[in-house]
Amino acid sequence: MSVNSRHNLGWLLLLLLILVFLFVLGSPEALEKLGEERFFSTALGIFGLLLILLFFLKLVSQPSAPPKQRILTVLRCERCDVTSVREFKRGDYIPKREGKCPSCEGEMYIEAIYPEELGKKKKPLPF
Amino acid sequence: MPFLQHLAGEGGNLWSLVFQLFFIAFIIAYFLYGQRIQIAIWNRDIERNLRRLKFLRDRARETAIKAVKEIGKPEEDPVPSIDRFLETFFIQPVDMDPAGIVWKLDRLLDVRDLSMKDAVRRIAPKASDTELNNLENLLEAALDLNLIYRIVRHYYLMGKRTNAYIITAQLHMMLPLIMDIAYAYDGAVKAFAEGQPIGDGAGPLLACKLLAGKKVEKIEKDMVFGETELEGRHVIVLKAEGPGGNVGKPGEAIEKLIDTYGYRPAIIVMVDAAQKFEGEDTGDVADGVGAAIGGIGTEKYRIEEVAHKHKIPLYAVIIKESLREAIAPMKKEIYEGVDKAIETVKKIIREKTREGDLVLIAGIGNTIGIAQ
Repeated sequence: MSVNSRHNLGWLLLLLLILVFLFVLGSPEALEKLGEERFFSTALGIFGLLLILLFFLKLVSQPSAPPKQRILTVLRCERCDVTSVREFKRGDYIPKREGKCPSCEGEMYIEAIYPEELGKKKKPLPF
Repeated sequence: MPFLQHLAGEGGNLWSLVFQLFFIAFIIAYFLYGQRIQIAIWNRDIERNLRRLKFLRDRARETAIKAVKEIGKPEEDPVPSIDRFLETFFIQPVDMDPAGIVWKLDRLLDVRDLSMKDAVRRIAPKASDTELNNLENLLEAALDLNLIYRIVRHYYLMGKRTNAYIITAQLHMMLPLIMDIAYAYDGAVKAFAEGQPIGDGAGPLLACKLLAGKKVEKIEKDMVFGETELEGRHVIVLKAEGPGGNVGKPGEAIEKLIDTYGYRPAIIVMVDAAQKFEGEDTGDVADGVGAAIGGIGTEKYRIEEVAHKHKIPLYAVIIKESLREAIAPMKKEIYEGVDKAIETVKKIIREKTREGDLVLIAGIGNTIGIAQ
């Protein structure tokens, strides 16, 4: 499970709890009983217990593993600067010469080897 | 049940009573055993991370065994030798009397390096020099992961056995940083096994770009240099020999270029990947004065000595990245940072030297996946 989906699951559970709580309060039977102080404290108790359970589950949940990334090799033509990207193969290194350029027959060389970017870009800091 | 019903009172809600009792019990338990509960939660957290550390350590060991078998094609089973390698250690020289410690340390590091290379050569007899360097880097990363796992386990068990809460608390508070380093080594294991460039290779990559199409010569241990023209100045570019995983000995190489070969550069510009502060962007470039080189300090000492002896100004250009990024596969931002660093180097050369001067540029870092 990715970091984001785990984070979203926590919020989803919390939202579900609030909805259940509101549903209980919103039912006619519950409204009738709402006048009774004991019913209200019981409902509040259930809600509190569920919250404790949720936070405990979050506390003991597995630490998230870093996401898996593909490694890309970027090839550039020496003559016309055309680039092509493929998956990294063992034996690739910068600036290994490899093959001919499809457009000008110039020699291609490996310009860069880097992991593909995953996920959202970080927001700029406000300070 | 009737008893409980009786306790709840006439018309009383039984559930309400149960919850009240539960909360009272919870508050009393937390009041009396709060610290123990906290320690138990921390211990559980440490255990979970220890399991993950063990997994990372075992995976690195398996990767190393697989790579050794594939690349080195040993005739004997390499597992006992690899396990022995993963337990090796290094003892720093005594520093009570620090005079002369640099040379003692330098000698010990040379011995360590040689013995590690010998060990890897024995484990993987069919590997080429490039593959040998990569395998050495891979085994060192596995060794570091093994060390992290053993240290964390040691403090965890010690804290538990002696009930020394302070040890457990400190370990728990340090865990996020320790795990960050462990994940970085995990990324490095993969990069070393495959021979991919890592973030620390920013300096050698800059040197490689400057030396594109130029003839290079070997100088000193695992170091190469080439000559080129930049902004109307004659430039000597120095880097570790790639594409195998290698940092070389830039200090000794600069010493040799100046003292033995007789080059007299007007300035020395050192380019290295450097630790960024939190909040800074990866791949940002900054320049300053001094020897931009990490490590234990012996190479830095040599460079400062030779620069001082010949009164050569030392300039530094750094490409910012985190510790984790330095040993993980090189990010796109770092490639972009290298291009920015080339412009900064040109600017320094224009500002600090005259046309026709000799300039020495040293690309410092691990050159895995980067040839010349």
